[in-house]
Amino acid sequence: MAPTAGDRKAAEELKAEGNTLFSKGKYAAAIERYTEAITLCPEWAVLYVNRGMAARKRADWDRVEADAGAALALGPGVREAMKGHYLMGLATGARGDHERSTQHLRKALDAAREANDAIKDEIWRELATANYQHWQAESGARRASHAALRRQLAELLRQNGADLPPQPPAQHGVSAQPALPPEWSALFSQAAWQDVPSEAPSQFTCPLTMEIFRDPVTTPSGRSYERTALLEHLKKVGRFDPITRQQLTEEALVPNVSLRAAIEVYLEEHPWAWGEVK
Amino acid sequence: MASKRIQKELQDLQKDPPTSCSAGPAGDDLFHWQATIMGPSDSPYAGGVFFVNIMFPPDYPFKPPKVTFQTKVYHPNVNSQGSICLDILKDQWSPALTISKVLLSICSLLTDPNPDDPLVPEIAHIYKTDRRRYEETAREWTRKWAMG
Repeated sequence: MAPTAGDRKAAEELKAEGNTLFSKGKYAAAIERYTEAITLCPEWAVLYVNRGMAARKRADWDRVEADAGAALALGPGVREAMKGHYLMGLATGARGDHERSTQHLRKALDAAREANDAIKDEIWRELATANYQHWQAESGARRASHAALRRQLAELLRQNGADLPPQPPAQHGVSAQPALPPEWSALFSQAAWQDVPSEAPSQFTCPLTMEIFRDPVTTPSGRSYERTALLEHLKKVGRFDPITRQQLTEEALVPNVSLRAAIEVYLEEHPWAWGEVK
Repeated sequence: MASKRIQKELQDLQKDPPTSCSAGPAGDDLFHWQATIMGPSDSPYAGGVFFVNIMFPPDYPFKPPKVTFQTKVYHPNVNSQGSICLDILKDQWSPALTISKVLLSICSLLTDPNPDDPLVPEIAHIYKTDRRRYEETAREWTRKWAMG
């Protein structure tokens, strides 16, 4: 049954009350108002998003996930979809489903960028954290499986009467990896290499923040900087390009879309680097 | 942003230290560093080790660090309090500069004083009019304060 005009009006009032309570930090009371509003207008996506946002503050992840799911199922507008995916990403991440978490956060980030919503920086950090945790879990599993393979291989080689290097002594009570002939060892090191963190290429890091770019902008001199850091520079230090010292105003800045795309490919291939971003 | 950026600079310095200087936190406070500069070999400060105090402002890198000599230096651009007259530490500061670059600039200043923008006019005058006397005094101060 579609809500009447009166229902809609009452729901709007309840939503406004909920928002006021939310901004005062009274999340449980806000949730009550949104719930009442939902009984009146069950197909209004914003109500689920707002209730999910309040539940997030209480770390009630089941509630967050249910509300985000309900909001997304309603075929919401851009902003509600952005927040719905964001909440879904946080909730799935909280219960360790890194894969779904990163998918939702990715969608939230794309929507936030399209809408140029200030929440995009926050979403980016959450995405970085989720991706980093995903990598930690996966690389841990890879290490364990490599160790098991090593032991199997050493055992097989020993049974075949191969001449194995002497077993290294245990360290801190943990027995060392079985010694293997150098060519086998090299193969294992090679396989482990993808999970060894190193340093991101310097052209992917902002000369001001020294961190991997999130939202690089290019100046007329062709230099790129992290947008927020450069804006702070223009405000606090002066209206010039920090490296070339050429005169510079905010209007002259252009987003460096291709650099951002290249960084995303890099992060995809070197997931440990998300640790530098978060 | 300040503490993250300072941490990054520290990592970079440890990974790839400049040949003639070193720097790092003086104690637990990340915003207070101590650095050492080796006197450049082509200057009267050769053989000396100069201690430098570095204080990062809370909104670093949007304000320059405060850098002062702790070791006494006889130089037209360094006064008796250890203050350094260097444009990049004042109006020519840019957040793209780093402590590593600042220390290298101080090394260059030791080799090439800037007597036209002096902090100690008497030393600048001697530097301009009697270079040998300047060099002798600078060497003597280096022996006395920056060695052993």
